Amino acid sequence: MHAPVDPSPGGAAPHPFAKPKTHRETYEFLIRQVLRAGTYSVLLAVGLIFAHIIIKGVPVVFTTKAPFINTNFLTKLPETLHVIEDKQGKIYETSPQGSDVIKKELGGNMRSEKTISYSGGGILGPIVGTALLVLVCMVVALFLGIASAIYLSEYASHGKFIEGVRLAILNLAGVPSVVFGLFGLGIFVLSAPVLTDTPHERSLFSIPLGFTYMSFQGWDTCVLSGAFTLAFVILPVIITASEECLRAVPQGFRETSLALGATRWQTIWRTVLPFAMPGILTSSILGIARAAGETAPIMFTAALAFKDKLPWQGDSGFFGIFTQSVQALPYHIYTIAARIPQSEYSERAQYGSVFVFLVLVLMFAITSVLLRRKLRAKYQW
Amino acid sequence: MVAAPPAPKKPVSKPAHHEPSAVTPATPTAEGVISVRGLDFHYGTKQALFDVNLEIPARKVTALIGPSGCGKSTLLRCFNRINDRIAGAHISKGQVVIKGKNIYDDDVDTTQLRRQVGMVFQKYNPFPKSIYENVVYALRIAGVKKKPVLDEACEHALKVAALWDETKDRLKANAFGLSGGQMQRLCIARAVAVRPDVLLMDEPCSALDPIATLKVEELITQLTKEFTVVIVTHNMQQARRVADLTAFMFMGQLIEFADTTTIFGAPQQKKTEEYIRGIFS
Amino acid sequence: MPNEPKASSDPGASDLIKPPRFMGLRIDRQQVIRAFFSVSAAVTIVTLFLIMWTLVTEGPFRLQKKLGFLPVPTLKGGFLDTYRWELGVYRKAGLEFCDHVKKPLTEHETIFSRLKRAVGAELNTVSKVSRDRRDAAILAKTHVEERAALQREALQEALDKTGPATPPEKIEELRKAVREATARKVAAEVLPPLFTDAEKQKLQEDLRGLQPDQEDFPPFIQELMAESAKQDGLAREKFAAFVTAVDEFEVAADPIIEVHDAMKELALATKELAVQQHMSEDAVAQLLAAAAIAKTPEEKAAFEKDAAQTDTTAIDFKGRIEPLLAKRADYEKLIPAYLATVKKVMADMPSKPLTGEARTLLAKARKDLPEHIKTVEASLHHMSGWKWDKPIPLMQSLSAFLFGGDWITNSSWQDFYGMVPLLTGSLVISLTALLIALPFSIAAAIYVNQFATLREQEIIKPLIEFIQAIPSVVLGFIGISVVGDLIKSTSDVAWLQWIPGFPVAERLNMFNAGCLLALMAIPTMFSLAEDAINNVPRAFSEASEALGATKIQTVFKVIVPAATSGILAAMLLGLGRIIGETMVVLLVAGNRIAIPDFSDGIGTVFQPAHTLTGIIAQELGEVSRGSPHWQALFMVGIVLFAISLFINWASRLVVRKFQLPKI
Repeated sequence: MHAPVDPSPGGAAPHPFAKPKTHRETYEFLIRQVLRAGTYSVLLAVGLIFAHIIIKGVPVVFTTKAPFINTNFLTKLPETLHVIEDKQGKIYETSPQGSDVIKKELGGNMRSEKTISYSGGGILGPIVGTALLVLVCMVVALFLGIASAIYLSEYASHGKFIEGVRLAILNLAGVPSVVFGLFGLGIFVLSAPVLTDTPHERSLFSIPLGFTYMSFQGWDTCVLSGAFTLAFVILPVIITASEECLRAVPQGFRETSLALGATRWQTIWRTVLPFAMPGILTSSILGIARAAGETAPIMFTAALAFKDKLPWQGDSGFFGIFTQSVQALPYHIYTIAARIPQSEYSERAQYGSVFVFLVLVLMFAITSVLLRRKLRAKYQW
Repeated sequence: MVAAPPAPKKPVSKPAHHEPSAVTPATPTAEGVISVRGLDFHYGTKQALFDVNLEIPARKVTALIGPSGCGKSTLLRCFNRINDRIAGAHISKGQVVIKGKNIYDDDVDTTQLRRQVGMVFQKYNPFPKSIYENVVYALRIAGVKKKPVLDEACEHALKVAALWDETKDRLKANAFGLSGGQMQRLCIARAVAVRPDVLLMDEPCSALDPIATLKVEELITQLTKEFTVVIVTHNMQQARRVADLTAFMFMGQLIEFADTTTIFGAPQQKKTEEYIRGIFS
Repeated sequence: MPNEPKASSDPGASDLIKPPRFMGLRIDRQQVIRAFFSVSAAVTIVTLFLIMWTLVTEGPFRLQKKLGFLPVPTLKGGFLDTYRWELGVYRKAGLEFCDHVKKPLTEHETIFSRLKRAVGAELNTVSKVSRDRRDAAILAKTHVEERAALQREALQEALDKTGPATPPEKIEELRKAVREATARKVAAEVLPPLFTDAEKQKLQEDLRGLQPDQEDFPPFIQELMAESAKQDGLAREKFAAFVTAVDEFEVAADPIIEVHDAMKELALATKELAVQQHMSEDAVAQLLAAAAIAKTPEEKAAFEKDAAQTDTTAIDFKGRIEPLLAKRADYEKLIPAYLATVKKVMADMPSKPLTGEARTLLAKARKDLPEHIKTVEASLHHMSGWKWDKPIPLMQSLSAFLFGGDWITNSSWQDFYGMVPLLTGSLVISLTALLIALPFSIAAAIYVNQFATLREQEIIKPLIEFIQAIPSVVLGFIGISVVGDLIKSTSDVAWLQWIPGFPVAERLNMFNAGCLLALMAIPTMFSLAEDAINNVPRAFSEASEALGATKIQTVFKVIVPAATSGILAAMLLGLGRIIGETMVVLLVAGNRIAIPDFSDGIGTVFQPAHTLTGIIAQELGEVSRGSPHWQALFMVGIVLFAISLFINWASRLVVRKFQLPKI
């Protein structure tokens, strides 16, 4: 009895398990290399993109002289860049105020003046705006997300309704962010409740509270609207991930704790959350990194193309910070990359902003990875 | 992996509580189809087999028995080098000679080896394909393309596995529509389709109900017409029913190897006797 | 967080009997905590459901206040209603009637531009070389002039100065500066190999002598221009029949255009009136509403008076349409002559054009012209059967949205909200991205899961997942700044011209967007596919290897087939991510609102397009709330929402349907 495929026709093989003489090995090696090439080419593409942004962005943000950081770029507000050329071919790049001075100085010696919107100054306004949006978004999303996940996994009874809710949340995770933008516009900007003495005529309805009205007229485009919209973009992801982490805690922990006489809440607080927290935090921070990078949801709810003041430079007090529109880094990049005519001068602002933005967002991602590692080491079962 | 010279040394790293086994395992035949010579096997740093010597005769059913963790599955999985899949698993000494060739030699092609040493696993594991595709899988892998050859091999294998009558009308149906016992027999058919010399069975009935078990056991005794069968079982009754020869292993060592009747009737070793009497399970 | 200090600090048994208290009240604290979590979950769930509510009430429905305060969604004032009204005006004012004339005219324009290109290609066989030489010389002149602009301007200024005229020695000095600068630039200017060395020297000599007050072209360039004109004349003579036929074809449409313009004027006037009347009606309604809630009788009276004074007389559509309909006779009269010209062009087209370009263009024209004749004849038919007062059912505005081929906004003629161009743009881009992403993500998943060493796995997996963190606007920016130019310059490489669609016309196109979206989708698809492969039971691969299969055989015959459902689901979810992405397509896809011209085959992907997501992001900021345009954008949002639900549903179905049996 021998195998139908004899490995050694002609008795050339010295033993029954010798390698048959085929090209199979080469072929397999090739396939393996093709797969490997596919994998590494993705990494290569991303690496090239990063390298390009770093090469073009670093000279904008850093300088060769002390303090090595282009402080103007990071601490000034965006402004129009004026490029003035005199008749000797000398070129001055300056701010709107500076341009008046130079023009006066040059007098008849001025040959041409170009203005490039938003490309001068720095990007402090967009950085602050994004920070505010992310901050509020984080508070809202973590609070609602973790609380909802705890309810769904620890308190809710298992039934058709809760399953339906889970399914809905899962589906919402796939809804395009621009649709969330529409939703934020409809709900937060145009019909969220505010307390006001004089309800707007677009108000859906207003409830008299005696001293004032609660009017469903929306918050207008402002930090709050934008941040809430962003929070709801990532909420489905945070809820799903958090619930998964909560469920991953072995059921035995809860039973043991309850059996030892702990209340429901003690059980959750002392035996469930500590073990679920690393996962919850990791996924949440990744979610927030995503929120920080989103543009579409804040386009109609919070972002402004140009603003010459920082949020706290108004006269509307602390809450005023949150009830006004701001510049945001992603929207700023969109504006200077696509909505103004391109020139060599606008490129500088573009790469600088992109570089700073990328660094900020990736910092979130790296934090989440490091945090996970640290917390994993602490809580292990 | 270099084969150590076949000089059977006493294992150095033997556990201390072991009584020195001065046993030379009884060898029913002089030279078997599979000869294990002084085999030491490790999972990483943990040694799993200690100086195993064994000659398995052709066209017989040889059963490996012993308590859980005694190394019987490990030994079986050395015979087709499927242990190579596990990272860190390696033999440090000794040889496994099949058909006159040490299969741990460098020039051995594991795919060729496995075509000639088939294996059936503890839990039936047909592929999520049709019954037909499952049976001819190994042939297709080996490059057989002709439909008549495949058809014939399929029929033969299913007949050998006593599954032909039950499945001949639904060869294109998914294998997962079969019952557990049928799936295990399908796995046997799949293993015998390439007509290997040796068929390794790793507790083939442990996932089956008693009736399916009986059917498979019946089949195993039939298989000796064509194949050398090595079966690992934790069920002594099963070994008694199907095996011609039985090897008893304990803590990674081969304690005793003899005719099944001898092992179960008049074991030479104290350990064997204790095990058979149910001292340790 | 309150941490149950009582329970831990006081283990006395009396606690068990005491009624539970919370903040001094007789409430079970556990109930309070539970209620807190239920409320926050409810807020989340309700808000998430509000998404659909928003889309619906801002899109097809509109909130109307019932009983004075309760907002209830009604169809009236929603998208379907307002769009129907717009379409109604379009019909009643006769714009639709005019468009029956416009359709053949548009066709005429496309066919003419093709014929013109064909003529150009034919003429080029004779005149191209001389024209290229002329253009190159003029280009060189412009370059040199631009680069010496500083000195030239200074001299010009000195020359223009009158007051006291610039002293001649000063002028001489400036002239010298110009000469020097010009000479430097001429030396730096690289002349194309169209000229012989002698000619190059001549040209350089010419260019060196350029002065700002010299008005004529230098002699050699004039020579080149004359030569070019001569060659052009020769070419026109050579292809005289074809050239005149195309010229005749162009002017043949002129009288029709005239009639069409006259018709348009009539229709637009009526439309204007209708819109004004509609606005007045709205104003009256608002005034009356204000009157209803006015605080004082005087205010109320004032509002009512204003309302009564507003002119809302209905428009006499019937009377106004008569002169428009009368124009049909004019149009009919022009048709026979026009059709005769068309037929003449068909006859006069060269049967064996000299260039490949002309061949393809003429082949297209040969196919299009008979169709065009049919369109012209059909237009007469449509016009005679046209009724201005045929009602528009509500569903027609829905089908006009879903299946309409035009998305035209802010038009002086008529706005259309048909989403087909956007949908096709989205689909073509998504499919391109999917086709690019699929092989890479699956190869990476297989490689990482099956072949990579542990160390490689530990590095590659987080790196690929890291890609997800790159914000889409950054990728879009890369598309504008790098990938676009890369595609453009690659497409100009001579030996790559066999690729369909090369050379590409636009830097920003669907392929560019597809590449970047593929990069965005790869992490999602990779992770899910890797999970799917990882979930294939070890028993399968073990069995396969025990049967003598090699690693590759095991992977491709057992593991990948067993993971198919997971890989399919990964693909679908990746598609969902791609189709919903906004910023990349907004920045990179080129934003041309038109159904792509699929006659280019695969090359279609190099055309620009607009998308469902991009249009919302681009236009929503600029429209007023409640206008049909605004509502149409929310309708697009609903379509996107539906697509994402469908994809989720399909991926779940795939996973369930092909689920591996548990073994």
